[in-house]
Amino acid sequence: MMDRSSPEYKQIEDLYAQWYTPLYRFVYARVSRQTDAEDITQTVFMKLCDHLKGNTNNISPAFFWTMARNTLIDHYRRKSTHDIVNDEIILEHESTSFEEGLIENKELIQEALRHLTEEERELISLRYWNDLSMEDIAKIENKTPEAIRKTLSRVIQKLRIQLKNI
Amino acid sequence: MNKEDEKIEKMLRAYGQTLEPKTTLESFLGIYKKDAAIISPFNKYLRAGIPLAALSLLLFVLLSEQELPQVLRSETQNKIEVRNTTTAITVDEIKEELAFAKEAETSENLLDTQMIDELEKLDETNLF
Repeated sequence: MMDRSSPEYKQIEDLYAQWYTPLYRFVYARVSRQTDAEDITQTVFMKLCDHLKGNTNNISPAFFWTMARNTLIDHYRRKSTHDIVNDEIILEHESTSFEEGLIENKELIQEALRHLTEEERELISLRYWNDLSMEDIAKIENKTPEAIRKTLSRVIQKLRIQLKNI
Repeated sequence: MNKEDEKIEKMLRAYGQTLEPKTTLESFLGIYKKDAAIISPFNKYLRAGIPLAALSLLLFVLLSEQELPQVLRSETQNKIEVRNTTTAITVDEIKEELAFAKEAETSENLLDTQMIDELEKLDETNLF
């Protein structure tokens, strides 16, 4: 096991504390299945740790997310889709910490998210689950902030319709 | 943006906060250092014709995990990776668990018929 006093341990510890959960949420948005998200997050984070060796001081959100996104896409390319995501997308995240009174909403949101595309859920994860600005999302997605704003607005409308139908 | 949209945004943010990974720093490090979760000797079982699904079930029983671990072929290395397990497992520990399960009086209660069959197959192959 790694020496806890080593610079490498400290580096990974810092990266983990800052980025692991945000990355997990990002991956979960794409794959929509808890076990797959755990698995792929481990793999992607491992690659990120390798890429970022010695460069932990100046990681901007845009830099991190671009790298995470590219690594995830690369992971998809390498693996057959069937290995990663089952044919039927299921949002099934277990949680006990959901704010009291919103448990019903959780199920509604899960159901509504099923009707979005992976790309739309990716935007949701960056904006609402990881609190990125429109400008940072635009850099990651290689689009203008205005285009991101419009797309997100459409996604919210789509969710609104889905939530009414549920 | 109207109030209904704001409510949806609030719900999305609250939902996002519930999405927490199970992987701890320590369990990640075990995988990252490749000293626990990648277990090359499992290749022996594959060569012996024991399916990945059976290995996965075996580990599930032996390690009493909450979730069924995935046993996957690694593409880049000629190894088998055990995923979705928070328990750091080594080959020696699996040997011990297997020996315990076979000897314990309660083993039949722990293992269903299919698992006992698989264990017998493992025993026949004498791979440990």
